[in-house]
Amino acid sequence: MAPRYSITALRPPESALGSDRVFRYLVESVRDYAIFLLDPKGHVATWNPGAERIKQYTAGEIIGKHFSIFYPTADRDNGKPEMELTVATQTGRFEDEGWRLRKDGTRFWANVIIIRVNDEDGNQIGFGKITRDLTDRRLAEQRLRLLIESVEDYAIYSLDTNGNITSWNLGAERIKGYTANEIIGRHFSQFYTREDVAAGLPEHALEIASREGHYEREGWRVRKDGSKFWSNVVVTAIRDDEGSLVGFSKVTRDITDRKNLIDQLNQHARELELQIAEREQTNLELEAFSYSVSHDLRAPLRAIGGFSDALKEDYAEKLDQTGIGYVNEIIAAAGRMNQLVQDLLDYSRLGRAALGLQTVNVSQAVAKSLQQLGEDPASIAIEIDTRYAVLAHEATLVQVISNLISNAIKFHEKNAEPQVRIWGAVQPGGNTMRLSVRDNGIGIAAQHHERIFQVFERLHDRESFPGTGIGLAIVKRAIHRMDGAYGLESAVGQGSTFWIELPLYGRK
Amino acid sequence: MVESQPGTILLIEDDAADASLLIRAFKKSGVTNPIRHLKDGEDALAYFEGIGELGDRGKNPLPILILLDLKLPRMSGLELLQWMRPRKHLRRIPLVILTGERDPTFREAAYDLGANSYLIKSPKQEDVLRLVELIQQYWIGLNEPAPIVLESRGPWFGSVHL
Amino acid sequence: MISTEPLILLVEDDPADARLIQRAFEKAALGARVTRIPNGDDAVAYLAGHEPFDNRTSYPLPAVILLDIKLPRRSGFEVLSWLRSRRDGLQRIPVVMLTSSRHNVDVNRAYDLGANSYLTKPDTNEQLTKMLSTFDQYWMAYNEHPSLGVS
Repeated sequence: MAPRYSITALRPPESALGSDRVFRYLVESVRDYAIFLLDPKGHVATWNPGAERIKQYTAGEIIGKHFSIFYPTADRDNGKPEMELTVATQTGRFEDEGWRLRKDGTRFWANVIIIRVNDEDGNQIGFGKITRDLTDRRLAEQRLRLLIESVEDYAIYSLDTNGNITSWNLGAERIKGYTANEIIGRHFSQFYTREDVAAGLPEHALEIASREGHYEREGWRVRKDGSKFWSNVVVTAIRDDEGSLVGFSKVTRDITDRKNLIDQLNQHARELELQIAEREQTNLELEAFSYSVSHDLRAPLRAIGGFSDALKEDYAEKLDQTGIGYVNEIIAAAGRMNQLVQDLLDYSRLGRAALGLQTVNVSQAVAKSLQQLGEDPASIAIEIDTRYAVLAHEATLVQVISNLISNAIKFHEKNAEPQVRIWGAVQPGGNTMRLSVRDNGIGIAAQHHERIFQVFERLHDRESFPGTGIGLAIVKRAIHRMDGAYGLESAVGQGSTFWIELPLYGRK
Repeated sequence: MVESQPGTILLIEDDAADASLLIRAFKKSGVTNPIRHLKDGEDALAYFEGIGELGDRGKNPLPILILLDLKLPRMSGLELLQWMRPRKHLRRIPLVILTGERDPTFREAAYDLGANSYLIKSPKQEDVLRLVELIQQYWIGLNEPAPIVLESRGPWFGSVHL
Repeated sequence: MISTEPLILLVEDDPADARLIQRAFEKAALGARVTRIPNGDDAVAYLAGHEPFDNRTSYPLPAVILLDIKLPRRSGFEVLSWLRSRRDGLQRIPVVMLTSSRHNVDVNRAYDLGANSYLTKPDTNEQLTKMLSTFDQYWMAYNEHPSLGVS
């Protein structure tokens, strides 16, 4: 093989020589590479700043010495330097990486190229040597290898182009159960389940990796003891500088725990969905139930009330006072039942329906309540800043206020005129507004304060005060649904103040 | 957010005299609902489409009752009806034709296009008052309105409901 | 239409409700003529002019229909849907729902199917009389009836 380099004979530079001088300058300015010449016997003939920097000898100290001085004792004893020169002589070139010695005896990892140098006639006149200090790179590689070898959580190993295992690490041993001795050289399909092997999955993985550079999949793998684990596997194709495939690297992670967790979560999610579907079904049934209640219970009520009324009107002259009294009782009873059905429906609807909250102007809501009750606003003292608005469901709020006002008016002393006062106040902190309804009625003993908010709880018989016993239960549930608060201040004979609090929305 | 208010009555009438007579009659009969008056079909389109100032739902909410004249400039009442028909959120608003047109073909066409009712305008003052009272008693007082829905175009808009 | 007086067709299955409604019309003393049909199939037969309603003198087409939702054999919505799908003019007859349901679902559906108006049955006779009086005045005296010839 013809040498690739040809350097002219070793002679001191002449005064006006072109190319010689340029080459000299080139070599002498290089500091990262040691570039120097050896005579045919291997003695150092030239030196450069790079060589001085790397090997620490000055030109004066090293020129004339044999280049084997750069080699570790073991290599010298083995005749490595001579061997390298022989190869360079015969083939024209020798390249190697190995330890070299500096002047102070410290070792460095070197990349070394030795080339045969010929004169114009083809006679060998010596060798050229280019040495590079790769200590840093080697240290990095070493560190990486140590790292890989010591990683326990990941199996990191390599395969040749056929899929046989060429390296192993601690993680691989831990995860798959094989020691390096047991497994190196064997085929990696060893780790796949029988079904996967039959389906050609290992070959498929290598094929994809070599085609696309990369293959990642999750799947079952088998340990040495036969047990299975859920793995995350990444196969990467390794190519040389020319792009030819030289093997594969494989990183496997045991994610069985994670898979179990995910499976559990999915299970939970499915159960939750089932519960939700069931609850919706129940809600639908309740909805249908109250739908029928509202139709089917009310139709007969209409008939009872309607025909009694017709009886009274059309046959008034055929009925005596008692008769008319009976008819009135029937009409009243039908009316009460109607009210009860309505209240119950309202109460149950509050339990299910999502309340869409809006900003509701408070003084307007109060006005609407009064309108619904048919009460003259003038008869009630109202002190509410008309700009206040709260976050509430309007229709529900109006109903709540109606119930409170209706109670305030209803429960008065026998001969006293009901006096009702309504006022609104922003609470300290500025976040909520309290609407209070005060009456001069009969008052409520402390031990009853909680009871009265329950469904069907009444403190008086129907003769004293009419009512379904649901009004305050509706207040309680409604305020709850709107995220508000309610309360009562009252004592027997001292009237009552019922209050509700809702989030303030700002002045509107 | 909108303050709780009685629903808007939308009057689409190009004749200024007729319009002011009607509005006056509404006031006189004690109607508290706000009344919006548009003078032609294209304004109505903008109103319903939510375009521009007419489409500002804060100032111009969707009405609970529409009173529509047939003879309008640029776009006739029947054309407007036809345009409204496929739009579900508009179909549910009671629309009463209020017109001087006595030709029955218009009446038949109006019903076919989905008008809820067809009333003939009377020239007489007291008739107008009586008519308006009845409109109010029936359509505002008795008729059950469809719950207000979110308008179908675009994202959230401000008026939310049941 | 061949008739002496415009007809209100009341489609109502509950006999008590029907009776009270008819009584309310009488009380309103507007001279309203009301024919009651107790189920959805009969309502369709009446409007289509099928037996036994094939005599248009005895069974004239109505000027307005009062329609309940809950009906045996065919629901009010089905009757409405059938009516609005006609192309012979019948589809123009004004239909006013008269039902106990106030549910949004029903109200929306009624309007979507083409009901002209929706009324909820009130609780007392007095309210019913007032309602039907206003109803009668509006639909029978003021509203222009469509002619039901071929469209």
